Amino acid sequence: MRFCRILFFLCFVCVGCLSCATPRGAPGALDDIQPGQRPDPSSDEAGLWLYMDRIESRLKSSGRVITDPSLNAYVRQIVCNLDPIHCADIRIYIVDTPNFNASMAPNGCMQVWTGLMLRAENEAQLAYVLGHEMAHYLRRHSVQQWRTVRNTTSALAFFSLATALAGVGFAGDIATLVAVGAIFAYSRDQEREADLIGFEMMAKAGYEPLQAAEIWRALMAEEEAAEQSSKSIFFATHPTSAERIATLKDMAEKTSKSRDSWIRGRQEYMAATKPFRMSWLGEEVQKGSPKTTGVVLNRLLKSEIDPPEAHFFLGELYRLRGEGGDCETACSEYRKALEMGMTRPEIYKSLGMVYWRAGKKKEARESFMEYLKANPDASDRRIIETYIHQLR
Amino acid sequence: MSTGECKRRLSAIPSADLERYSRLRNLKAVLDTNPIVSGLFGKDSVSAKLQRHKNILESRGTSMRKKPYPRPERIGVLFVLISFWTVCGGCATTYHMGSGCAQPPPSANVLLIEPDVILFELTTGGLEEPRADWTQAAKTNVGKTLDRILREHGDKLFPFQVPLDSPDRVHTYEQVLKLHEAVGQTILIHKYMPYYNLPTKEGRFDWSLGESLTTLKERTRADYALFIYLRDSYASPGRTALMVTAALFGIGIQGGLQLGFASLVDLQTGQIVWFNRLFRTVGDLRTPEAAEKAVQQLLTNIPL
Repeated sequence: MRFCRILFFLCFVCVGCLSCATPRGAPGALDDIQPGQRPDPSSDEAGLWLYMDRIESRLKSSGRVITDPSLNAYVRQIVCNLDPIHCADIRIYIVDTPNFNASMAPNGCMQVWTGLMLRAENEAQLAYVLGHEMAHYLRRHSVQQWRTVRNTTSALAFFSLATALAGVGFAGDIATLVAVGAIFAYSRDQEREADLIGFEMMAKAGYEPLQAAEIWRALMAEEEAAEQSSKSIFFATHPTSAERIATLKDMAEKTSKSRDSWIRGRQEYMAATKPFRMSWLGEEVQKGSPKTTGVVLNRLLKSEIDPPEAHFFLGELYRLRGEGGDCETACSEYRKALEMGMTRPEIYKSLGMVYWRAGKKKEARESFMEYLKANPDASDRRIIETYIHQLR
Repeated sequence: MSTGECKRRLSAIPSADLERYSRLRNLKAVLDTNPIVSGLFGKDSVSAKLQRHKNILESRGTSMRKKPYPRPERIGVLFVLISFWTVCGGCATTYHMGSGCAQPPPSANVLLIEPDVILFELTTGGLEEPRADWTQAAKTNVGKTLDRILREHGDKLFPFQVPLDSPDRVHTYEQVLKLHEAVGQTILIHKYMPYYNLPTKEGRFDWSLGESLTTLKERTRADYALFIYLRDSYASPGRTALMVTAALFGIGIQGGLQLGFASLVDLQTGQIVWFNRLFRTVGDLRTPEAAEKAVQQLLTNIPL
C-alpha cells in the first residue's frame, strides 16, 4: 500500500504542476498575441490554427451563418470599439443557434450565437461578452488549454500503464478523475482572466460597466430554472455565476465613478437586431425547454423589449407545452399581444388551435377565419379551410 | 416473431434508450481490447451500465438478438476502426467500382479537386495534434505525385481552380467538399466494416453525390471529378516510449495511422464510379518517396 500512496502523491503533484494557470504577466505566461501575428509553422499553435482554418472554411458555407451585411457590420463595429488594434485579425460569424454562447478560435474565428443576441438587452451587454471572447484570443487561451490537456493526458498515460502493471488499476481511475478536474479548473482560471480583460475592454470603450454583471445574472436565472440541472461543481468549466457576478459588480462600482456618462446603447441595439428578433424568438420557443424559455421571455417583457411579440411567444410556449391550464394562459398571452397591437396573422391561427383544444368550437372557427382574412395567401390555407369545415 | 410484430415491439422502445445501449456496447468492445483506454474509462462501470441498459431494454420486450440496426456513433466507430486497423496493419487497399455505372471513356475530362490533407502528431496520451509544417510538406509531396500523374494523362486530367473572386461559387464548392466528405465517411463505415453493412447496399456499390455536381460540370466542362482525402498521424517520441514500455509487458498500444479515401465521381449523375480507401500503420506522407507510394496505392485501378 505504501507503493500506492507514493503513486497517488506523484499523480497529484504531476497533475497539479501541469495545470498551473499562468495569467498575464506571470512568469512563464504566454505573451499576448500581436496584431497580424501568425504562429511559427513548426509550433503546436500553428497546428491548431491550421485545423481551425479548415473548420472556418466549412463554417463559412454553413446555412446557419447569418450573412446580413448590416447586422454583421454592427457586431464588427462593437468588436472594433473594444479592440481597435486587433479587430482586423478577427472574423465574426453570427450563427443561428438559439442558445446563449459565443466562442473564439485561436486563429481569430469568432462565433456569436443568436441565442446570445436575443438575450442581450443592449449594446453594452453584448460588448462585454464580445470583450470576454476577445480576451481568449489575445491571451491565446486555446493553445494554453491544448497544452494543459496534452501534458495532463500524456502524464496520465504513463501513470495508468504503471498502475495497471502494478495491479492497482483503480489508482489510474482516480488519477483520471483528478486530471479531468484539474483541466476544468484550469479552464475556470482562463474564464476568470477573460472576464477581467473583457471588463477592462468594455469600460475603456465607454460601455456602462454595470451591464457586465447583468448578462451573467440573466444566464444564472436561466440555469436555476433549467429542467435538468447539469451543474457540477467539479466539472464546471466556468466559475460559478454568483462568483462572477459578485466580482464584476465589485469592479463596476469602482470603475463607474471614473466617467460621468457611459454608453448603454439600447436603442442602437434594438434597431440593429429588430429585423431578426421574431425569428430568434420563434427558435427559442421551439427549443422545447419551456422553463428556461419562460425566464428569457419574461425578462424581455420586464425590460420592455419586444412586448407584443414576447407575449405572443409566451402564448406559443404554453400552447406547445399543453399542460393543465396552459390553454387558458396561452389565450390570455395572445390577447395581451393583440391589445398591444400585434398584427401578425399567425396569432389568430394559434388562438384557433387553443380554442379548439379547449372545446370552444365557435371561437376556434372564428379565429381560423380571421387568420385567413388577415393572410389570404397563407401557404397552409387549404388545411385551415379543412379545420373550419370540421368545426362546423 | 412475424415482421409486423417485431416492428410493433421495436416502435414501443424510445430510440434514445437503444442509442445509449448501442453506444455503451461500442465502448465496451473497445475497452475489452485496449487496457489503457479501459483504465481511463473504468471498464467495470461500463460493463455494469451496459448490463443495466440491456435489462431495461429486455424488460420492455426487445429481444437483444433481434436488435434493430444500430446507428453507429462517431466516437464508437472510430474506436472500432482503430481496433480494426491495429489488427490489419499494412492491409492491401480494396477498391470498388460503381454498380451499373458506365466507366469513363478514354476521351473523358477529369477535374482534380485539391486534396484534403492534414497530418497529426499522436501525443503520449493519444491525442492527435495537427501539425502545420508536416501538412504543408505532405501537400507538396502529394501535389508533386499528382502532377506527374496529370502529365501522364495528358490534358484530360486538370486541377480545379477555386473561384476566389466569386463568393457564391466558393460557397457551392465548399458544399460539394462537405458532401463528398460525408458520403465518403459513410462508405468507409457501411461498406468497409462488415458489422455496419447496410442490407440495402448488399452486393452493390451505388453511392451518389446527387445532382448538385452538375454546377462543376457546367463551369469546367469536365466529365468527372477526382476527390482525395488523406489523414496521417505519427507517434510522438513520448508515445513511442509508451508503446515500447507497454510492449515489454505484452500490451499493444496504437501508434500512428494513415488513412484516406479517393473517389471518382460522374459530374452528370453524381454517381461514384470508383472508390478506394487506404488504412495503414505504415507510410509517411512527409517524404516524397513514401507519399508517392501512398498516392499510387490509393489510386489503384482508377479507371482513367
